[in-house]
Amino acid sequence: MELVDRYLQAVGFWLSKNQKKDIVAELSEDLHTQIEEQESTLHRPLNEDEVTAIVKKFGPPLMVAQRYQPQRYLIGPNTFPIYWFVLKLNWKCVFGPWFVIGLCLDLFVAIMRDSRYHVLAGVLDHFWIAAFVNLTVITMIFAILDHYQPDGLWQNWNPQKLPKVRDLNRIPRSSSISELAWYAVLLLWWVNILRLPSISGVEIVPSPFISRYLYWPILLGILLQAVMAGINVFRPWWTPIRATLRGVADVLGLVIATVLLAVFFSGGSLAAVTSAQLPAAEIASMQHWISWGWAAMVLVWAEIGYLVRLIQDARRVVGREPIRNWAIRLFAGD
Amino acid sequence: MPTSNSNSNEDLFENLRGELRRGCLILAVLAELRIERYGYTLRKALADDGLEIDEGTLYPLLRRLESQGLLVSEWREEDKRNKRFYKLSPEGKRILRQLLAEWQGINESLKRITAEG
Repeated sequence: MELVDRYLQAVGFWLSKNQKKDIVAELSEDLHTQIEEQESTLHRPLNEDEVTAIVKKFGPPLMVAQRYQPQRYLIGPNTFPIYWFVLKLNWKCVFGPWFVIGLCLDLFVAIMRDSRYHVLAGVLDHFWIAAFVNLTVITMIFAILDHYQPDGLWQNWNPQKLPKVRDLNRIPRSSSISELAWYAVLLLWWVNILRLPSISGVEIVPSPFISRYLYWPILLGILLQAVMAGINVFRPWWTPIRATLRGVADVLGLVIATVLLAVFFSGGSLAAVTSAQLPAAEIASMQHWISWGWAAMVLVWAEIGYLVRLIQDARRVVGREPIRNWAIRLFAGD
Repeated sequence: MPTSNSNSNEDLFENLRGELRRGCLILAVLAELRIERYGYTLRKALADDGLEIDEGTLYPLLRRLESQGLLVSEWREEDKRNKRFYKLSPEGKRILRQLLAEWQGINESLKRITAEG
């Protein structure tokens, strides 16, 4: 019966001390009864294969031992959805953007191999540790909350306190106000009332081409968007007319962004840098990379953003619900 | 992919069957233990009545029911070997009566519901 003893020892390994002796004795009794019964039917001792078959029927030691334990989990089913929501929110708002931006910057510096831009590199150096620490801390907090949650916590819920049904036609005032603030700052910068802070005597302004040919279209685009945001603050709901108007503003934005990109890709500069202190070569290089940065920003923010907003505008005009997901909210703010 | 489809259907059936059996097994074990039995004879009695249950399921279940106060057990020697005998506690008898009434109700309802289909 060496095999039976080995099996019982393996099961016992996973059991707690206070229950081990009792459970092992009971399993042993059952195993021996089965073996004896089969032996008395066959009128001979069982061979090793037959004993193995009986032991195997009991199941793997770890699984057998685990069935004696109460169901154990770190975060229970009541708390898990909130835990998962917080993890997803963290990823979408912090770690997702961090990863994408970090990857782009690291790739940029790797391609450039220029020591002047080394400050941009290594954005992802601490990413994995931070993500791991974040996951661990959040998991620990929720495990503690789950463990110590008071009995009957969920029984006293009040249906009257449930949030109102979300009206997809309603424009959140917070987003309209932040949009208005952004376009106001942009407008003040564009009409030269607000200037970018000058670092070490370096002035950064739009290139002469943009100032000459795109000044009025960009001003009109900014004004249109600012007026729309202003109206949305006081009348916070979408109508087909308002969606059409924003669609027009978005088309204008898309055209301007496309022209800017065309200028950049045809070798033109988007930014003009002036400095009395820096040598001409340094200024030219700085101008090149600022243009590069603006082009990347225009490509990601304006092209994708305006395009997505146009789709949303079109859906609203034809009376369909706008698409709702985090990527659209991130790129188009809609 | 007919094979993986039929496999997943089988898995699904096994999962649902497991869920269906879980509650029934508790009722069957409690009912069988109106007479004092030890693990092996309890398993045989259940199997003879058409309800097979493996050792890995039965013994932890017995222990859980005992910790809930529905069963009482004692080690006793029989046929020159120590065996653990289980039987219903007074609380277990009361709960069994309630569960059986509930079961009859569910059974009647299911009969009506499935007959309508």
